[in-house]
Amino acid sequence: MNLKTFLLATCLLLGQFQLTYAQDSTRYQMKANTNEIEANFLSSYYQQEGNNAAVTGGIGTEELSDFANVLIVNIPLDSVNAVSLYGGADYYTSASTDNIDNNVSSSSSYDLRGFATVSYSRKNLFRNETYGVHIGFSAEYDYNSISAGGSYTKEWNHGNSELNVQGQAFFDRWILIYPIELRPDVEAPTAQRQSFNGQINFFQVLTKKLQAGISGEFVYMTGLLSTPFHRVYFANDQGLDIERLPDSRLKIPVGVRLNYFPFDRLVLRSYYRYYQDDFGIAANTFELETPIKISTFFTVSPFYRYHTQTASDYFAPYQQHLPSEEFYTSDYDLSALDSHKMGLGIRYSPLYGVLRSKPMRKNETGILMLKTLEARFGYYSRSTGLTAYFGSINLGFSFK
Amino acid sequence: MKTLKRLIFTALACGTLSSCVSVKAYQKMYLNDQDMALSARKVEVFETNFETYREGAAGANGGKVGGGCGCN
Repeated sequence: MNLKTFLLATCLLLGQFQLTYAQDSTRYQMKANTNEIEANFLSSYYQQEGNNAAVTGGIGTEELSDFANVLIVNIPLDSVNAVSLYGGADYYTSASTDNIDNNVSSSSSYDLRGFATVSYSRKNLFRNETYGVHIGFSAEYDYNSISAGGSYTKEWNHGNSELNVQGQAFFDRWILIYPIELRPDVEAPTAQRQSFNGQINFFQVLTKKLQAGISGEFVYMTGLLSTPFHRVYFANDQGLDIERLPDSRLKIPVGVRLNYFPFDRLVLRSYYRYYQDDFGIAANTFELETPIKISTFFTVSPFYRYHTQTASDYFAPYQQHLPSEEFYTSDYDLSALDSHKMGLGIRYSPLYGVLRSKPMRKNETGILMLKTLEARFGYYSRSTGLTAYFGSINLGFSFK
Repeated sequence: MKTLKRLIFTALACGTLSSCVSVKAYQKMYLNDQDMALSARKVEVFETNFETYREGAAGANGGKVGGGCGCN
């Protein structure tokens, strides 16, 4: 984006503030924190099949299953300060990872990944602003990551407009594991990876039943961006090497959400994203979900998502790369592809909760409540032949 | 890149014009419905993760853009 483009974008954004501040005749104050602790326990099972595993150079089984659990807890400390915890663990089995070493069934055929993020936020109720910081980590058998970030949110125009800016950095380290037949002849240039992510989100109420949001993001990654145990087989039986990719990558996705409530029992949730990066991938993603309110407390939500992308400049299938190339991969995640995802979500959320305890204190407080039960099931297919099934649940609790 | 620029400007221009809209708090019955939230649902977090890994494109939807190799 050149300077002229940047200045024009800045002017348009500043125009938002000017127009809306000028018409503010009454004082608006954002919502303060309630005294309710909220917790969500999420659990998911995912299973995929395919025959283009990158570990075996673009051929071979991609069979994988993943059982993931996440706990999200939000604890208000007072009307303006809050802390939250986001933590969880995945247990996965991967047939392709087992092929790093064909001689033995390696421990990497199954693995556990743990992760946690702690956040703190503070509201300025008079300025309608929220500031936040967070730190986190993620650990698995060959990959560790720590992260830190911050966010700023401003509401105005009676809460009809909101601007959110976020930034975060990830500092990752590989434990380098190479395909068995290439040890000790190959070496990755580094074992580190850093990712820097900036995001700007703007939300706007358009009518009493329509609101929109736009998200712009940039992600700059540097370090080892290839996977050291992915194989690439060269044309004409000229041997093999590990995957080689450039040491930096810039990703720019821009997303738009538009939600509309046309009838009392129907909501239309739509999402579109355009994505481009300097690996040569350009992508378009469209998603539509139509929550239907069967009753006040019970909602079913059919959803459909379509994604299409061009191939990375560095991708070629099995035995089509040449050793003279500088970068190469046979990872079909970076190939030209279309994908379809479809499924159904259900949510049961009665006004006084699904289950609730008796008050633990005399002043009718200390009530633990299961507020929401939510589930989603779906099917995913990719034009490369990969297919997957998934199911997720969300148990939403509150305590006050 | 042209498409990206067009998208940014169209969205900003629409946003600038629409910021004149001021719906009062008591008129937000529909907007406050949890299905109208302008973000992915919490229960979608797992789907966002596998889409990030299975497709070269990611981001602008609250998903994971770092901190994990996604190499399986």
